Amino acid sequence: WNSKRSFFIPDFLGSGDGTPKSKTESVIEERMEYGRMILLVCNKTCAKHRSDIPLWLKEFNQKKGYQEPETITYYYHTYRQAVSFIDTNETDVFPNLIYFIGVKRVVFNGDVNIREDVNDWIASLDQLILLEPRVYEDLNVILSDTSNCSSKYLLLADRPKCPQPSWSIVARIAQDHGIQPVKIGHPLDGLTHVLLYKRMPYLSEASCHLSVLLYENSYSDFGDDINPLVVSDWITTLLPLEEGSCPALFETYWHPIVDELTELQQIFYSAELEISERNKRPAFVLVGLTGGIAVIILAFSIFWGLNGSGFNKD
Amino acid sequence: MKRQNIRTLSLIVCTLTYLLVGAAVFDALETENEILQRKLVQRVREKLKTKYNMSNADYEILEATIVKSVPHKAGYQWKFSGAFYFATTVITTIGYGHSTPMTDAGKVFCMLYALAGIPLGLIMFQSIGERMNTFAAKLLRFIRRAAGKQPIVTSSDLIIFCTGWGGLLIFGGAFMFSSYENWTYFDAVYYCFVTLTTIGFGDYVALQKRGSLQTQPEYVFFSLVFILFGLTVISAAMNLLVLRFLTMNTEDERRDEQEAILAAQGLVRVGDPTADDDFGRLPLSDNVSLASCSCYQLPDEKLRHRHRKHTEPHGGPPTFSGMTTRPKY
Amino acid sequence: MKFQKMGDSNTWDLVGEQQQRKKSRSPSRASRVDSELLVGVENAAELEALGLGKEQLEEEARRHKKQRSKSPALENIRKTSIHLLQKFGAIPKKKDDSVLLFRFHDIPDIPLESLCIRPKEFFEEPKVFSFRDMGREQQKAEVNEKCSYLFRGTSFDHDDHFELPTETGRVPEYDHFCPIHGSRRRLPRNKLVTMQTLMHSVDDEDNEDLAYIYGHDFLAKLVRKKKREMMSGTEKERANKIKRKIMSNLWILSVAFLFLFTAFNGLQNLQTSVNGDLGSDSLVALYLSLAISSLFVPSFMINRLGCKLTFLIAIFVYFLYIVINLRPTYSSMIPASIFCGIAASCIWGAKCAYITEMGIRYASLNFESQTTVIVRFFGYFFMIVHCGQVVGNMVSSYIFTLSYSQALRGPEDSIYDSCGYQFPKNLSDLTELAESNLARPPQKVYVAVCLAYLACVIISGMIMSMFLNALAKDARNRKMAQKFNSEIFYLMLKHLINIKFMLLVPLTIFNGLEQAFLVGVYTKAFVGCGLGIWQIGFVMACFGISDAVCSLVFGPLIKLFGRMPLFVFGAVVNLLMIVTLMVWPLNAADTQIFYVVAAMWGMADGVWNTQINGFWVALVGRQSLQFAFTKYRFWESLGIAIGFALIRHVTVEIYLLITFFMLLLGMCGFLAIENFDHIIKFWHHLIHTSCPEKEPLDDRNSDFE
Repeated sequence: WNSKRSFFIPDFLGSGDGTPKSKTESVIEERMEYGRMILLVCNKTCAKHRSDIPLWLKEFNQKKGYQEPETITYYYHTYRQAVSFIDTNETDVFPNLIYFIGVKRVVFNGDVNIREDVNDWIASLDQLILLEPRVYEDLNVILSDTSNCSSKYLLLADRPKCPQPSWSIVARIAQDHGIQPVKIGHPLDGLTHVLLYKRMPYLSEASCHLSVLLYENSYSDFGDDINPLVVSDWITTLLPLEEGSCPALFETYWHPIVDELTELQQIFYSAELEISERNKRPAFVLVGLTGGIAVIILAFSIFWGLNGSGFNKD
Repeated sequence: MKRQNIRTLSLIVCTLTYLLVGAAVFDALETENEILQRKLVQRVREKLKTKYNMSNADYEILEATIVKSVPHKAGYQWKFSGAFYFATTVITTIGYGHSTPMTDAGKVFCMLYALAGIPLGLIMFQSIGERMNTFAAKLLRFIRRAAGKQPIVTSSDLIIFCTGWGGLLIFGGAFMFSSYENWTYFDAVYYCFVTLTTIGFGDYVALQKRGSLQTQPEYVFFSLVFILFGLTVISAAMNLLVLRFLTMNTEDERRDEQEAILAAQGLVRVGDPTADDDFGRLPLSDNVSLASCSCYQLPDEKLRHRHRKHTEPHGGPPTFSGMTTRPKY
Repeated sequence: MKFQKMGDSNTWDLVGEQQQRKKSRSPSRASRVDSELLVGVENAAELEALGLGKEQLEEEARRHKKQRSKSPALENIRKTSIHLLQKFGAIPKKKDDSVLLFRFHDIPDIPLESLCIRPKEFFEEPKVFSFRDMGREQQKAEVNEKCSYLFRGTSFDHDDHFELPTETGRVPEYDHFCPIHGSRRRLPRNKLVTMQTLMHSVDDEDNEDLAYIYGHDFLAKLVRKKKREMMSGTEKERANKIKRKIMSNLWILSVAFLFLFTAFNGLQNLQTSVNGDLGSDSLVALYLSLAISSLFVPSFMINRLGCKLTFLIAIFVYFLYIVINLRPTYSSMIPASIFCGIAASCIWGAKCAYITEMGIRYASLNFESQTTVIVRFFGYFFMIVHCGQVVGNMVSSYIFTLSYSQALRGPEDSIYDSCGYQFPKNLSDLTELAESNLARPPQKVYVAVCLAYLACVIISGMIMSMFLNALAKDARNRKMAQKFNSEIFYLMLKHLINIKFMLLVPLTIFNGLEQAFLVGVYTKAFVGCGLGIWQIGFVMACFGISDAVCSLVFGPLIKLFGRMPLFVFGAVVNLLMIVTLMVWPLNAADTQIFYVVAAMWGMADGVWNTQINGFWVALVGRQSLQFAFTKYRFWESLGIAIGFALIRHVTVEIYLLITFFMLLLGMCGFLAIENFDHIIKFWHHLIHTSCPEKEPLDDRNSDFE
């Protein structure tokens, strides 16, 4: 875990050389693990900002109704000497705001005193355009749409069984990379479920999470770990850098998406799914178990009776 | 009514009840699935016919072809390893039905083969099972002695031992099968159980994927060893649990006969080393102590001689044994 | 439906229990020989006096042995054919393979007390019933210590042929330590259990001297016969006449009950499906009133009016009940049901009294023991009355079938979503098909069924009033001034907090719940909904048959199998059926399962009816049979009432769950009673303090386990 973490931490934190980190550095690192934050940087004491900005942020969060990992957190740093996370080329005015998400950081460079400006800036950062396919057709279109190499999708799932609270952060990261995040509502109806797992046969049905990158008629499964840092790392490694080119993809990471399901397939697989789900109903299993135990007791009582006092006198 | 007859009758009634009850439960559990499957097949058939504009006759041919293709999909069934697997399922009476002889010659031979093979297998498994029990008893005794306890092994100890062993085999085997065959663990346990109890439904059959009969000799070996060894263990358990009930009636008959003989002779001599063993022999050897009796033991040498003299002719009139009136002679 | 169960259908237990008390350590022998049959055979003089000398006995034995349990005609054919075949040498002359013990003239006998010391703990003098001893103290054998079981009939000591000091008749008694028959010595010593030892040890431990038992049984029969023969002509004639009269009365009573309960059971099974909520409410009222009134009304009524009049009045009430059923409304049905419940409690009480009285009379005339005769009479009675369930249901189904014939269609082969365990509480949720199945039959047809039942009740009343003789005892009783008798009520209160009784209560209530389920829920939510109302009768007839057969068979079987296995058997069968009904998606094309479930339910019910009743008798003690039956009837009726009340308020699934847990609870209670002493001991051990008030309880209950 630790090694992975240190492997994925963003470049601007510049770790790896073993130098002790400042407090702010470790806070950033920790927050990046699952969420996002805004850092207020002052080069002198800025009491007013330090009291205003957290308040604005809090109101913003409340307005959007964000829950824990999705909230934009706040931290304050006093700029005295050069630190890894502040690029002096970008940031020349102080006090200033820096927004951290994934391996990315955005510098405000506006007027920190004007509330509207700050709010607008945060709102523009916060914007998330999400596709939520509700029916079979929508998902089918998305899967088929990847054949031209311009469109990239990231499928994400938020299942009540195994919630992925940080999916929204991941979606924002993906969006920053020019990938269209797609959230699949759960529970899936039978047909959509079949579509998902039949068109992408290497997805494991056993794994609860779903985070699949779709590109160029292929898909790549991130697996269970959707730590924002990991995902942004994967995205940068897996996707070609230049826009619009259609390079060959690594076969180790990418599997081709199977053709669209025929009507017969749709009927058959969805019915199969329904039947197998019915066959696994826990109430039935319980009944089978109870009945089985009862039958064993019945057999015992039969043998007991036959071997019992009436036949064997003891 | 005779005790044996009552026992047999009640066994019949109990078994019938057991069957009825079981049928009801199975019905309740499986009905829904069956109806759904039936509906699905119906629907797919209609779709297929309309889509490809297929006639009924063609569809039937298609169905028949598919049924025929099932064993072939699994690889060659009648190369040597497959044939060996088949022979095993015959003599162990598992009978999966995944591959069956198709030629008349094969069928004839199969019948005769089973005729001799099934008893052979049964006897072999039983006798290995019995040996295993003996060995297990020895082992347990040794362990008990080593643990500083009395080296006594009761039948319940053995039964626990056997059950544990069988359980281990089933669950361990299931693990192997689930990894080889890609079954879920539960299905694999089910397969192992069905196989070792020689029910052999054939809904799950090992060695039927990816031609593993030819390509995975180590897996073939494992499967065969599992079946043979597993059956041995099960036989050992049967040996302990079931056989006693199998012989109940014959034992009863024998004892009744014995008692009739004893009673007819009027006198029974026991614990008399000098007595000739022609009649009144008891089946068991451990009846030596005679601290109390209601049988007749004649203590005195003289009396016994006298007594013996008169046991030979059965001249006396019968008395009702329950009566204690004195006979008049 | 199951009114008849509430009587003491388990009268077999009367025999079983008695023997269990008398049993020494060999229960099976006790069960084979009804020791009350042994009519004073310890005294040969008596036999001689009856003209049963040695030779005659021998002759009889030989004759009897050959023709055991064969019809005379068949026997004659057999005899002649054997004779012929033997003449021609086709079959060898059969040797006499008699199992009787033989004695020889001059085998010296020796005083066995010098040889054998019987362990005290296994010794119990078998009590022998003798007419001469009736009312007197049983004569104690003079030697009561060593081997005294060998010495009986000391009066014969004097005419001794031998020089040995005492002549002793040698009785092949069962002795556990006997090396030949006994089991104690033969408990497997070898530590290693192999196949062989197991095979040998299976039944080695049992033994019985068949000849001995046979001899006693047979002898008792002979003695009875001789005694009958010895009666003088007029006396004999009179006795025969009375006996015939008693028998005919028994049959009349049974047939009358058959008609009555044909009507009542048939109507009851239709109650919930035809009358809906009103039906179940009226049944609640009926069974509640039955439960409560059974505590004090019957004895009062019987003593005041006599059995016959009680019967007639009760039948009249039943008549009214059915009449009111023709056009049921709440205001008429509920009071009718309450009165019907009271009538039911009276009619069952009266029936018990009547049969017992007849049994006692018959026994004294026929030189048999009273218990045996009473048990036999109850057996005949229930054999006939149980048929009522079958006949009544058949009647209703046939009439309905006739009327539905134009609309008859085969059941559909699909899952009925609104039947079975999914049966909706709100009837408007039913699918169309189910609704048409459950539709109330046309009033004309329903009236036809009711009228058929009405006719049955009238016939029953006519049979009773015209043919049944009143008991002499009734007239006597009536003369005495009767005051309100609430003894049973007080007893009930007194024993309310007896732990053992409390433990049996759940199972008894379950018995009621389970009956209410079949009558109220199964008929409606399963059979009616799936197959149609007109099929209810057929399915319930199947239940009736299996119930009747099992009730008759399981009573005596308890001696063979023991109580525990039978209870477990019943419980498991019932449990499996509950589970089945809980998950079965009702598919009407699967018709057989309706019958199988009913039959299995009947089987379990047979166990409950016979065994629970018997167990109450065992718990309460034989001295107050009446009280035991009342307790059983009270709790069972209460269970039925609760069941019918539940039907209205819970879904089928919940009802089944409640039944399931009630059964589990009941079985736990039952097991606790069976191991009561152990548990108490453990409890005492646990709290480690003396609980003096519990000890007498232990003592009292120790004699049945």
